[in-house]
Amino acid sequence: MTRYWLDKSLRDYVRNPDFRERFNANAASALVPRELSAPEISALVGGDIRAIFKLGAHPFLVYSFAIERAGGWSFQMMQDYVNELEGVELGEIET
Amino acid sequence: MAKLVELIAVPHDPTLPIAHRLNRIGKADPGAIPALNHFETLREKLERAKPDVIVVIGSDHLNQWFMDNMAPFMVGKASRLRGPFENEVRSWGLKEFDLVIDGELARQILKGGLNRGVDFAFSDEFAADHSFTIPLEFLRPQDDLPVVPIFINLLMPPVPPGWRYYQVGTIIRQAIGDADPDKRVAIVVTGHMSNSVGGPQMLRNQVEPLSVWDGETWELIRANRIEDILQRSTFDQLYAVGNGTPGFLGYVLALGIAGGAPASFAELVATTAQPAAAFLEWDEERLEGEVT
Repeated sequence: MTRYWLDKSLRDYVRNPDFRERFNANAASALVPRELSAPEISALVGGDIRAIFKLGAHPFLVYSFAIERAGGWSFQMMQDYVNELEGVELGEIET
Repeated sequence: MAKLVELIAVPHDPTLPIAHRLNRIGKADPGAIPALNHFETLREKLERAKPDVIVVIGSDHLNQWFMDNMAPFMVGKASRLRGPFENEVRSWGLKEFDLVIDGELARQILKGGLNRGVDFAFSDEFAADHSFTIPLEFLRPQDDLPVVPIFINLLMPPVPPGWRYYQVGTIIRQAIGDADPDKRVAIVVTGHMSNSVGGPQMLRNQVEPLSVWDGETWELIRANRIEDILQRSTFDQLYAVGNGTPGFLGYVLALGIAGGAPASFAELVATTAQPAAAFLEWDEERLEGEVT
């Protein structure tokens, strides 16, 4: 199950400044040691919130990742985030 | 036996402190005012209860406890409780805390739980995220009382079914009874009604402030129909309502602490300003079984 590492990558982006810096400099390189599937790597590298969500990442981690990528929370940021997820169904999130 | 003098269950929506600040300059969303008023009412009630210590029960939002080692129920017994996390302060302007932990009471709850069948995890190194600090920011802004943090997993499945949260609540109360008989203990629990933070329905309350689930569940709470509440309180049932709705298990735990006593204060706020939010309180008389 690679979902754990998808979730952990999202969490580390928010909580680990060193990982965030490496990810921002070269996301694909920062993810190399991690056990991730090709679609997971592609979604993370592209910062594709909708794809990350559909892969079963924990919604709160996806949201926290999006907040950090946006440089902080705002009502507009929240609206943009929800727009990106329009029509997506909740799925399995267990790791 | 230590005396449980107050039990409060409230939300921890990080937009509420923002609304609180805006309200001071007359610019808060009117839909947020009832929630702010209920927090103020409960702040006064907590102050009147004259507690010596506050047990704060909430869920870390995968900020520190993670799937490398996830405990459903954990007692924090370090010397201090600090928080929230830097990114939470940055995003929402949350108040920062550095509170003394009542280590004696923490250990009594931990051991009292173990003796009664709750295999609590414990930690001596942790931080409080917004689910702990926001209720304290509203309910005890003086920062003058020691606390005991209890972390409950409300986010990451698998989690125990609702009946177990209820049972753990009853046992936390029993374990508090083991403590110093002169100690006056208040408990603040936090959780959610229907909630979709981080999910596609996150702004559903803007078009449907009161969902069917919220309406039905609130009626059950008001009628104190515990068995019916527990019947609809598994993670999967709640997750289907909205990805953050398993946070309702925090309220289920509060009902367990109350031990079947009906709340002495119960208000549901359902507006477009924030997700539906429940405010419950049991005063000392009600906790002792005196219905007035």
